[in-house]
Amino acid sequence: MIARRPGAGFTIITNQEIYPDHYLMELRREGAGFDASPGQFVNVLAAGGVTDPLLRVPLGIHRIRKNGIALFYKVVGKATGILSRKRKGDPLDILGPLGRGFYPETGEKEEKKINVLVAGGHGAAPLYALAQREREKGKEVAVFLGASTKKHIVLSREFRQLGCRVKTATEDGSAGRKGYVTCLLEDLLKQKNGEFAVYSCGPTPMLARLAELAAEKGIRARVSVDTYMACGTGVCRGCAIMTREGYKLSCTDGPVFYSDEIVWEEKLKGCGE
Amino acid sequence: MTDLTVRIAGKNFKNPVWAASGTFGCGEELERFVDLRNIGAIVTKTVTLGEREGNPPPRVIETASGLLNSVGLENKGAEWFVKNKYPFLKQCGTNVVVSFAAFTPGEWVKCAEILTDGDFPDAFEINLSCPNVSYGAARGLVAQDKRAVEKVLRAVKAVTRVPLIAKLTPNVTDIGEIAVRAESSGADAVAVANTFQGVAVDAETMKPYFKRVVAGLSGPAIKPLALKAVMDAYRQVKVPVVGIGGIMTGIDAAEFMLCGAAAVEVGTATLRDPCSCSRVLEELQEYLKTKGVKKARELTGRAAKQKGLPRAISKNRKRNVI
Repeated sequence: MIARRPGAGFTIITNQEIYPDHYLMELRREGAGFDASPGQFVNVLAAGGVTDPLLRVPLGIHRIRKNGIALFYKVVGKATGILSRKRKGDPLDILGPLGRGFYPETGEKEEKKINVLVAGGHGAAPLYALAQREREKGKEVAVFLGASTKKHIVLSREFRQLGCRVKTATEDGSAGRKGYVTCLLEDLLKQKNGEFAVYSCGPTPMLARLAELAAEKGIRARVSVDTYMACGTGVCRGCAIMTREGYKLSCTDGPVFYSDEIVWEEKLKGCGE
Repeated sequence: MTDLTVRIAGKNFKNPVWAASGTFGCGEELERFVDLRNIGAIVTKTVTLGEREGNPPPRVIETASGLLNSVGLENKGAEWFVKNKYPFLKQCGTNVVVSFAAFTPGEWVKCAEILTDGDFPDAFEINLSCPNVSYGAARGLVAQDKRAVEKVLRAVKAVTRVPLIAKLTPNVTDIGEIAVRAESSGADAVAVANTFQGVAVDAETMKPYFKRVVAGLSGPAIKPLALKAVMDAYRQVKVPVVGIGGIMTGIDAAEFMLCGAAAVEVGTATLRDPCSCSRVLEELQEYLKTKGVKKARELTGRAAKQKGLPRAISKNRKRNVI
């Protein structure tokens, strides 16, 4: 069911800074359920009754529960700043679930594959819902988390608690492997044979490099793209991304695409070591 | 019961709150969120003769109480639209206004011919004012050149009996003058107005944010400017004015009507909340009730007729304004 009207029955249960500048917001929905799939997003109205910020903030669904969802967001601007000051018991106007998630709609079997989740910064947020779903199915999940420095690595504890194997990479070498998070994938693909199901979310240059690595191994990775979005419903056509079939919309055709669908422009080079 | 009906361009509309072009798709996209029957009219995303892939991203950025866009009329072309969207639009439960734009007089005519299907749609919104594409050698907007406005409207009028609503740009010295020319060239109504041209710059990279540099500003930030444009047009033409520009609430809609709008279009508000049109209508109804106004159409122009306003340019002048 779609949450339609302001409020739409979502109430904040917790809203805590669990990593520096990164908040975990748990929401409960009264009444109707919320049938979301990992990789889908919600468009959140940070402040009703004011026109600045004017539009909603798209946030990947971080956790999917029977009676609600959780969001994990980084405070980057006005709207996320307002969100961070919300308290337990406050209602939240949510539109969603929106978009297409990590699981392809045409039933490609991923059963025997080893799940590898590659996250850049807070791109880890929607991957958590996927990891959760895969762990519930008893599948092995490897998670690669990347950031510029150690203090920007997020959700490592939470992924470990799910029983995922977590590796980290930092650009300055302050935690884990020195270099970009894509280098962890590069290492893995070099060393290990096997069938991998690769999922990723993070900045575009990172996804572009990941797409390149995946292509070399003949892997069609599922990547959640990061584009500026306005409506989230497909009407404004603002979040266009170039694909091999022309422009598609991140909000309704994505945000998750196959890595080989996208025409990538700028990509990370090498390992940034 | 408040009478919400309005008559525009010879057609009856169930209410004066319409969904603005480019913010509502063709209605189908928002069906899961909105009861389309509550919308006064759906103004479709602008169609062009051929398919257009639109401008390269980024295409949108939020500004203080506003939104800059540079979408560039992305659409699949008139024939595709008739084949794939008309069946839905004809049974969507409300009035339909099809917006289209073209780049040469021949294209305008061809587009109008393809899109005219008997008495359908209820009206055409002639988009003379998209800020994100260029027309002709001057690279300006049609609605910045009254001769071009006349040429397009006369050409389209000659090939269709569907009423024409000329959508004008506010990026002119005197929108009233352009509205007058639109009226005398066959427009059955004028839509005032499209987005204001604006620029966003990325201070980090020191470059313009949009590849085309100039984009179109919409949202509450432009409301006072749009109200003036509506008033200017209303005081110079006899045909109805459809008011557009940053309407977020029923009171905003009422203000546009008071300035002379016979109907309004809600645009950017829909991008914030797909249900905005219905909410604006509910709030407008509440306002009318509070004010004891029995018919929505009685609001039109009340604030534009007040004494003490600068004298309106006489309607008689319109034939002399060239």
